Order: sequence, then C-alpha cells, then structure tokens
Amino acid sequence: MPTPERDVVGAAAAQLGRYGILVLMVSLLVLFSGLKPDSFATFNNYRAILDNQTIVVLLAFAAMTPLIVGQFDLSIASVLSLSHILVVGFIGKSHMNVALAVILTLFFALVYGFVNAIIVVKCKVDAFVATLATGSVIGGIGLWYTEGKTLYNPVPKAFTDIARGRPWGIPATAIYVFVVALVLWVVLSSLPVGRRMYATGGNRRAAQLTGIRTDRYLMAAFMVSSFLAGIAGVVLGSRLGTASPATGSTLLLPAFAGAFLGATTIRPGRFNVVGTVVAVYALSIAISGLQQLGAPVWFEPVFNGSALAISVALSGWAVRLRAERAKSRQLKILGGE
Amino acid sequence: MTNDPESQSHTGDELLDIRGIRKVYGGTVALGGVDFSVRSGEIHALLGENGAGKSTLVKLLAGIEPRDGGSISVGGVTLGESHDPQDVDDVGVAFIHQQIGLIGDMTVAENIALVSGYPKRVGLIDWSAVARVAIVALQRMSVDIDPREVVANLPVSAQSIVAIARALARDSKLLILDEPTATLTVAEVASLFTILRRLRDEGVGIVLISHRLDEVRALCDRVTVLRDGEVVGVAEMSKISDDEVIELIVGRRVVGLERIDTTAADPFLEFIGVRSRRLRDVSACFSRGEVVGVTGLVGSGHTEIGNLLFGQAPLVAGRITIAGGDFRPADPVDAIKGGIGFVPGDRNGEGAAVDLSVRENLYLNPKEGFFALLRRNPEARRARATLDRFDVRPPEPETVFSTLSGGNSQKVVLARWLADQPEVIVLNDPTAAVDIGARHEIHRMLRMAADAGSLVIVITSDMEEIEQVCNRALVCRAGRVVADLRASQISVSELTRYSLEAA
Repeated sequence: MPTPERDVVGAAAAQLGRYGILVLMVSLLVLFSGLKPDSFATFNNYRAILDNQTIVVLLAFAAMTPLIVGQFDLSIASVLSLSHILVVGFIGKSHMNVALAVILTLFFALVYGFVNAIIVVKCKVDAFVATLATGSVIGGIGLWYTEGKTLYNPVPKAFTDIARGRPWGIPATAIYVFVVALVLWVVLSSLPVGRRMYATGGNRRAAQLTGIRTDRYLMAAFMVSSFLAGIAGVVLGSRLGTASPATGSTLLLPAFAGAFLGATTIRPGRFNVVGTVVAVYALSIAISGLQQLGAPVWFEPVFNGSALAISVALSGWAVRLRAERAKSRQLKILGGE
Repeated sequence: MTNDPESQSHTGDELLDIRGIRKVYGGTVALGGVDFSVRSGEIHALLGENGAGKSTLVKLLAGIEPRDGGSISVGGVTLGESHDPQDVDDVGVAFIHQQIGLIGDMTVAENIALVSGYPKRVGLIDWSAVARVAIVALQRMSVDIDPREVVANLPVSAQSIVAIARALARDSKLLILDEPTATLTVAEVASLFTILRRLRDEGVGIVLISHRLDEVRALCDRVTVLRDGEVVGVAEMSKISDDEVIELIVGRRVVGLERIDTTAADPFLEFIGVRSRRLRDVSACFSRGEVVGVTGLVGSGHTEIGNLLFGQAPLVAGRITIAGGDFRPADPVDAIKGGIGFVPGDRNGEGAAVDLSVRENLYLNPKEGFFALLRRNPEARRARATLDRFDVRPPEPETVFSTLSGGNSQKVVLARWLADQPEVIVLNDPTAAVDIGARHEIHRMLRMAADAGSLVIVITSDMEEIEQVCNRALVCRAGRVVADLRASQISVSELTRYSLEAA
C-alpha cells in the first residue's frame, strides 16, 4: 500500500530540486552578508554583482538557445570578443556614429551565426566541431583587426553610457538583461516557436514528422545565439571603453555552467530562461563572497569548472528523478484498479 | 486452468524455480509473491499486459534489481538474497532482449568472444581461436553466418541468432527471450523458431515473453500469465484456448471487431502506375471509411506506400491523386496540408520527444498562429479531454512521455493525429510491442476514425493485425501489389502465402 509520508518526502524533494538553486542563491547572499557586513552587504556590492554578471547572463542565453534545439555553440565567446573589438574599433578608430557602429556590429554577429548555421545544418558538420572551428576563425579576425594590441582610442560618452548609464539608479545593463530575458521567456515558454524548438531538441525526427521544419529552427537558434553574443560584446565594449583580443574567452565556461545549472532548476530537466538567470547569479554570488573571504585567484575557474560538471550530472539526475516519481505514481494508479 | 495440479507435480526436474518472489516500488506492489517455474526442455511463455510484472520478474531474476522476498533457484542452486548479474550468469542463465546488446561495429566472432572470453596465446589474443569458438557456437545453431562479418551488416534476425549463439557459447541452460520477434520478418521468425525448438529438444529451458499469441501458440509448451503482480494462471498450451489466455491476460472477455467488406465505390486516394525507389508500377485505390492493411516482407515495398504519401520518399513516375487532384508532397509539411496524418513505426525514436510532457507531445507542432500565446491551463484541459477520449492511462497531461507504457504512449501518438480527423491517416506497425488489451483499444480507435470518414492505412508486418482490424488488404512483393483482398478473403495464411509466393 502506498505510504503517504513517502510521497510527501518525494514531493518535497521535487520542490527542493525545482527551487534548490534559488534557495542556495538566497542562502549564500544571507550568509556572506552576515559574514562580511561591511564589504559584502553593501548596496554598491549588490549593484556591482548585478551589473558585473549581465554579460555572463547574456552569453549564457547565447549558449542556451542552441542547447534547446540540441546543439552546442562554442563560438559564442569568440563572437563576444570580436563584437566588442569591432564596436570599439568602429567608434574609436573609424569615428563612426555610435548607433551605426552598434547596428553594424550586431549585423556582423548575425552573419557569423548564419555561417555557423549553414555549416551545421546544410553541410551537416557536428555543431561541436563546427563552432569550435568557426570560433577559432572569428578569434583570428579579432587579432587581425587589432593587430594583437589593445584598442585604446578614445570613445564618446554616448557609447560608454550604453553600459555605464544608470537610469533611475538601475544599471542600464540590468535593464537589457531583463528585456532580453523577458522576450526569450515568452517566446520559449509560450509561443508555438518555443514549443517547436523544444520539440526539435527533444527528438528531431519526431518533430519533422509532425510537420516542423526543423532545419529552420536550427538555423534560427544559431543566429539568435550569435546575435545575443553580439549584444553581450557591445555591452562589454561599452563598459570597458577599450578592446583587446584577449578578452572574452574566459567567459565561455561560466556561460555554459549557467545554462546547464539553469536546466536543473525552475523547469528541471530542460534549458530555461529563469533557471539560467538564477544559476548565473548563484555562481557569481558564491565566487564573489568566497573571494571576499579570502579565496585565491585560481579559485574562480576551479569553481566554475566544478559547477559545470556537477550541474550536468544534476540535470541528468533531475530527469531520472522526475521519471521515477511519475512511474511510481502510475503504478499506484494501475495498482488501485 | 489456474495452478494446474500437473504443473505442481513436476517439482523434481524444475530448471528454474522461483517461489513467492516479491517486489515493492515506493509503496506500490509490483510483484506480490509470485511462483514461476521452468523445466528443462520446455518453452514456457510468460504473458501479461504491460505493468503486469513480467519485466519486474525478469529484472529480479537477472539480479538487476534486488528482490524484497522469495527465493530463486536455478538447476538446484539457490541464488543468494541479493545476487548480481554475474551470479545468474554463473548458473547458466542468459537474457536476450529486444535491444540485442551486441556491439554493431565489431565482428560476430568478437561479439561472441566478449562474453565467452578471448582465448590468448603468449599473452596476446589468439584470433584464430576466437574465430573457432564462434564457428562452433554458430554451428550449434546450424546457421550460415560468417563469424568475420561486422554485426551491423547482418539482418536483425541474424543478430538475434548471434545473441543466442553467444549465450550458448557459455553453455547456458536457461534462455530468457524478451520479445525476440518484435523486429523480425515472417521468414526470420520461422528460422528463429526452428532453432529454439532444436534447443528445447537438446534440453535447454526457454522462457518466451511475447505479446503475439500466434507465436506463443506455435512455439510454447506451457504458459504462465501475470496480472497486477500476481500469477493468474499456469497451463499446458494444449489445454487452453486463445480466448481463455486473453481473458486471463486482460481480466475480462474481449470481443473481436466485426469485419465488413467495403466497396471501393468512391475512390478518394489513388495510386496510378506509381514507381519509386522501392515500388515498381503500383496502382491501387482507396476510399474514405476504409481500414486498409498493407503488408509484405521486409524489402517488398509495403512501407514505401506510406512514405510516398508523407513526403518521405520521392515519386519517380506515375501519379498519386487525392479527390481527383494531383498529390505530390515534398515533405511532411506538404503532406499534412494535403490532409495526411502519419504515425511512424518507431514510437520512441520517431513518434515523440520522450523527455517532454504528454501535453507537449500532443501539441508538438501547435497549429496556433505565430504570436498566439500557448496558455498552459486551456491547453492542459484540451489535452485531458483528448486523453480521456482515447483512454490513455494515466490521463495526466503533465506526465513525462517516457514514463508511459508502450500501449499508452502509442495511444498518445495516435491521439495527436486522430483528434483532428485527418482525411487520410497512415500508421506503421501501430501495435508493435503493445499489450493485448491496448491493442484491441487501438484497433477500435482506428475503426472509429474510419467510421467517422477517414481513410485509415495500416502498414504492418503483423498479419494477425490485418486479419483483426482491416476491411481490405494489399500484399506487396518485390515492389508490386500482388493481392488486393476483401475482408472475407483476409486470413493470416492467405496474407503469408501472397507475401512469400514466387511470382
């Protein structure tokens, strides 16, 4: 006979799994604020964490979009890097109008996405390999454009205000992230397009047989991915005011860690927008807090790498747990008859 | 019928003796004290609906999951309370699953050596000895399979034979076969059965798990039926009728569908001199309201008819017309626009995104406009109504698809199409690996769709299915339709005869 207590425990475990990362994030925030009331628990520090991670969140969205349709895009960090070089270069070196420079940079980002999509979808090269290769090419273009040096050309305030502006005291970057997140969330969770993307990622053949033109969704995913990485690049360029070909590559891992860890929470078992945001902030609060407690420099990459491996393991476990629970529920229904 | 005293009196020569075995999953009793025994030199059918406990029983025997009570002994050796797969292997039990468990890229000989051990000479693998072991194992089966052939290049039947040969290379005394014929053609099944009969005569005990009563009837000596985790019957096959077996399995009397001759008075869909990669000059016409079976051996071209209709194969010559108009779909999108629905044969591989919910699978490709918001609650209500209508259990829209049983998952895939009444629906092997109760319900769903005015085309290698559900049957051989049978002419023997007969 089914024991009610067991089911309560099971349900609680499932809820904890669902909101676990959120709970972790809040607990870390409280913990570090308590431990370091003078440095961590300050408005400026909270705002800095919020602001600092916006680029990672945008890049995590760029990682997530192809993952939803079942593909990897490893070129996003290179796209981010090249985009910040181009936007700073267009404005500082070529004295281009800010709006035009931004539009042109984002247009180029879409072009790289299109190239990735063609290589993966039309030439049928495995996405992991294809984007590893294009990422190297895109990185090379950045080196060529900068001749390997940092661009220090002065840029107008209109450009740096893109990232440094604070309308109503809110970091402008947080507003971009909010808008992008909202659009992605609506599209992925509530529009037919989103359903078709998850269907394509879930089973491409089954999706085709229900009349979904999966190639188009794969193409779109790579283009959106590059476009989002391009936005992240523009924000990065604006914040730094300078550009260097060495910048950007270290962000690839935290972006993927955020996307994968995000898939263990809010909608466990699938890549989702809210989960990704929560995951990126949970990771950054942990790192920032531990650094203030004296963690050494090497700690951050070690932490991010571990988080990526653990989150992939966790997301597999979340799916299995959900399946197990459903199965035992079903057995109960069958047994009850 | 139940607990035949004769079967109790043979305790002396039981090869496998399971007593009072129990398994409880999270408060749910999956097996409640089951006795099951197999003698040397018999083929014993283990039957039951999905969820009846067959696979749990096999898992406990195999040591994949621990049992919660009861004893297992094989050939007089009692297995420890928490035995592992190695222990079962040591007492000579071998399992052959639907997924055969061979490594496709390796040769037959290497696959056999994987379990029987690699013979070594001066520390290195002795490849000629590896080949010799394989040849001996294959000879015992009297089959002509080249041990140097790469497994992936063999037909599926040969692969299952290799799997059996591999089991026998270890001198297994008991073979457990879980739906070994699900992917085999008629001729392949026949050769597999010949081999199983020979092994039985050599004294090997064989357990056959199958949903196909005709196969059980042809092959088995005894039958044990499970329902809801209990044994509901053990009988000699010769002393029990098919209807009695079905009643034991389902727990109620199942009434067969009446077969009505349809007259193709008003052809709706026509094939006129159609040629494609697999079809050579096929002409046929189909009417709405018909359930038409299309069958043939593998390679006969019978599956091509559905593929052509759904834009999965190119038309080389000839015409396909729907309601008189030319129909030439380039892809599924065109086909769906033309009113065709398509249920693929490989349910999990092609029919559904198994990690998504049942609701999402029902509406995998939403018909709403680009900016229409898919709101969860109205969609869930719609899904629930559909699940109720097609009797999917549980009727919970948020259930993860992969947790459904074979029958229920197939009903969801069918409901996706049937819910909006396509003019033509093509189904590939709609009841493969589906239990008997669900099979009848699926057949009834197909009949209802036809009665409501759809043309239902059932493409299947299961001839019994055609006999049960179709009003008409086309038999293909070598790319041609060689027979167009009316309901009164359809029988498994006729269908088999036409599909095999040389031209």
